[in-house]
Amino acid sequence: MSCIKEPEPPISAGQYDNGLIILCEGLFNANNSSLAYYDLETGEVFNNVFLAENGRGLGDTANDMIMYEKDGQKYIIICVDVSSQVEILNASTLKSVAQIPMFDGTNAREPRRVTVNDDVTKAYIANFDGTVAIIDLNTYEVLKFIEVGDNPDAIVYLNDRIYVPNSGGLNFPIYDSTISVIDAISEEVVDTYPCPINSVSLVVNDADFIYLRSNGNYSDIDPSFLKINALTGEEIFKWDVNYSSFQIVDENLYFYDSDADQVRRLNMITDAVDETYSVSLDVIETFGGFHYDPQTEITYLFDLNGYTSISEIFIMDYTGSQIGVFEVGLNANTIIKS
Amino acid sequence: MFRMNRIIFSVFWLILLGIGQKAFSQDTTKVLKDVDVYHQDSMVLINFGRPIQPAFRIEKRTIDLFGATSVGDAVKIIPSVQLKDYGGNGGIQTINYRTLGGGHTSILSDSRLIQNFQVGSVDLKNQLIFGVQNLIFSIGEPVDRLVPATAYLPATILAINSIFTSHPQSPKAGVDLILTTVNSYNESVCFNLPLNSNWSMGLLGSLRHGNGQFPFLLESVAGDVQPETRQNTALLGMNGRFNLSYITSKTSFAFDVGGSRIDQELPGAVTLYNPFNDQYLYQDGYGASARLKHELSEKWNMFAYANYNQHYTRYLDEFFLNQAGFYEATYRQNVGASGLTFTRDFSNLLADDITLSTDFTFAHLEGASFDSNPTRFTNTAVAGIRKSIKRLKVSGNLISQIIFQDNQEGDRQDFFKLSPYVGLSYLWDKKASFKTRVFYKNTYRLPSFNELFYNQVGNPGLQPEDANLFNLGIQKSIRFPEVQWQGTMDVHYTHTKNKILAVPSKDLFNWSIQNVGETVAVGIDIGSSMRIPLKRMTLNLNTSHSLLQAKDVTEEKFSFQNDQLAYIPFYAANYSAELEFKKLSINSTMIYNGVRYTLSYVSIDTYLPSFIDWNFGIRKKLDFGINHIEVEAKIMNILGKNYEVIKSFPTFGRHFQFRLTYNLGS
Repeated sequence: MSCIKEPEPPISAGQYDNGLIILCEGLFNANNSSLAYYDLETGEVFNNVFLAENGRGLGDTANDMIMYEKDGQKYIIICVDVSSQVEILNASTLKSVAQIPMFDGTNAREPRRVTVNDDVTKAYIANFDGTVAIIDLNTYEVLKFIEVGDNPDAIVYLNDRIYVPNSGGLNFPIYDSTISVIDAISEEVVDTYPCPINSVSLVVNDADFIYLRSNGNYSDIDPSFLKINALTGEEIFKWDVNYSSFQIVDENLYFYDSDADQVRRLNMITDAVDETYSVSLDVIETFGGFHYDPQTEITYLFDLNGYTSISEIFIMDYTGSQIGVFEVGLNANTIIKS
Repeated sequence: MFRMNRIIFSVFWLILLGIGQKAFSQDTTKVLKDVDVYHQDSMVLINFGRPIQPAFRIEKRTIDLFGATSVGDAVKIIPSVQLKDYGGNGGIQTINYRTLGGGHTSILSDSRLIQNFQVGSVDLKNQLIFGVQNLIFSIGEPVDRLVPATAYLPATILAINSIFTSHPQSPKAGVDLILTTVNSYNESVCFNLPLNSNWSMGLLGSLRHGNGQFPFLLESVAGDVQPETRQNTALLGMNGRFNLSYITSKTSFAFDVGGSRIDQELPGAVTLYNPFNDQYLYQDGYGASARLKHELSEKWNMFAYANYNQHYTRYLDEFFLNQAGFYEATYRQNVGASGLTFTRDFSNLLADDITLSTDFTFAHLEGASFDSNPTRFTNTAVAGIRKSIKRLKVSGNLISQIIFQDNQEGDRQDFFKLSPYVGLSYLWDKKASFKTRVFYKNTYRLPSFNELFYNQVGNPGLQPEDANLFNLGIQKSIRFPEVQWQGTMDVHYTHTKNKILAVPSKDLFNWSIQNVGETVAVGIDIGSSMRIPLKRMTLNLNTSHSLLQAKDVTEEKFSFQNDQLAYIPFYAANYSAELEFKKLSINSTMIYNGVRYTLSYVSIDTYLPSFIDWNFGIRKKLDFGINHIEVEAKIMNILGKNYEVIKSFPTFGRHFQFRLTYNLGS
């Protein structure tokens, strides 16, 4: 006897080649990380598609997802933090091709972020235990763990170098304040750059400049935004602004400006904010991130609705006008276009 | 609501002033005492006669019937009680009643108030069950008026009454052994020795231990399962209590000293693909308490008490991803309280009796994870009144509370709060077999020290969580020559605002405690108890059912959150049946809990399926003069499903529980 509705079971979309794949992190200790699929042709949404395709849950607190193409086949790598697993999926079917545990004995390493090298032979995983794992993308074996700083929370591969900002978030109130630089050939840490405390987001452009966000300490040290020479570690500028959620497209750095409550872009040649583009977040209750699609010039905004409810993805055109919205799982954090 | 409180407050004091003028000059007539109408043999208690509000009494035999090994296990049979049970060996159990959390319930152990200012609610798993004679759960006001003033304030009161509340006529001793097939064991002893016709001394001790490991089926959100073993579950817990009592027909005095030590691994939430956990919890505490109840005269009764206890907690995560490689937090809490309660009986006046009570509480917490070491002084005062007009009974009280709260950071906060209660009942016949009752209570709970000051999560600006309760009920008892039946039905409405919740503030990783949300819960509770004597046997049948619709009515909320509140089932029920034949008892109990969601919206991500916890047992009592032995075997959770009360915390599956109890004395 119950007046409470029963949930609908997940439905398979069959193929996932023409849409958006959305990673939903879920909530800590709830084992409810999930993948959603938005069909760009029909506008249909399929939630919990990892479950539908694999007959098992993705795990607890999936933080990051990237797609790569190898031998004409697209694959997806997902870092599942609390479950301490790296999932590798066939991007067309979302079937798991490898599930790689990340443990140091019985201690979870907590994979947080992932990147791959240019010839897609290796994946690099930033683990929250202060290591970077190198995974062979032919055999899916872990080749090596490289020690970096405390609690790394981003990872970028560029020109045979791997950049890892170390947040030290679990050493509160004494955060880490370094960027580890790994040489991808020797697979050793070759440099450690100083940076502001609790740096968590990092991108690197083709001109070898790092753009970095520091979270500050949430009390008397404010967030900051830096440009750093990736080859020398020299600080080019440091702005006391609250920019986050970086995405590089050509010469532009797209970011969220929390003071303006807009998604904006920075021209990385002039280092000036391009005022011709902005997307207001007026429709958003709890901003969780965005994804800019350069082909369609559409910006997808993630509304996490208080972190404890269904996430909504708002579809905004180049002028910042809403042209659609769809609902996915709990706490959407990444979109990739298949 | 403020206006309503003010009206009640004004009327109440006018009545009280009127009584005061007459009371001390004219009253000479003794009021007839009320008589309880519940039957002691009742397996599951139903409301009993004296109180106006709904009240439930669980006798020892009922506690045993449900195979309860903690106070928490026993109270979950009460309609509308949702026990937040983290399951397994030593998993925390706190009470949730009609959507009100543990901070809205007073816990009294032999009239001694048990409080935890750090977390705000009491872990019922750690309350000794051996030596308990009965549990009384009342709503709105306490059944026994001679209790600390602070106990009057919360929405509900759970009184745990032990064997020390009555004077032993001869030496009594008991040994209780509980063995399970899930590596969890419990051994208890008790003594209660008369020193003379009034003085007695007693001792209660309990040892809980075992590695607590049990197999379970780990389900993902889709329902696919894989066999696992619950790890990191070892427990070693010890409780001890010494009691010295003096009991006469007019006076009862009790002095207790006690201590506990719990050393346990914390299994944590079950995480998909990550079975490892290294968390550990160590707690010890000790305390002393003295209580005096005394009949000062034919009209006047008094209760005085003084308590002190200290509690130490150490949490350790042996593997933590910081530079030290581990995380440790320690806390020490000191609580002292004392107070006085007076009651006076009248007749031919505006009141049958009045209650005046006050107490003072001091609480201080020191902790490595606190930015400050908070201190709270509380003064609670109660003025209560009861009046019978033929078959109509009226009861009311007004509670005032003054709170001074401070810490090293200078986050000073002072409160003055009033909490009114008013209840009426009407007896439809002289035998009190049919009664209608109604009550209203406005109450609140103060934020705990954790909620106020815990690192960056705490919020020193928190306001109390307010609740308004309405209840309309009937109860009926029928006594045929041999068959006895009692039934109750209550319709209730609970409105809560300023809910204290942990919510993400800056991002998903930065949570803080906020006053958010407003909820409304509307429900019906139904209970029935029947005792049917057969030729050589007796059949006892009991059931209770709760229907509860609980919604978030906050204005600024998300459109998805229109569904039932998190963790609240729409329907819950329990059943029990016992067949007694000579000294053999065959019994079966069942608890049903409907579908719930871990958040306030329907999704497979948040779904928690319904569960049935069904037990079957056989108990045999053997008497050898003054020696009594009880042997019991039970199959627990017959359906074998490792259901979850709290998401990711599975409970024991099917297992066996064997119990051997020896009692010396009548």
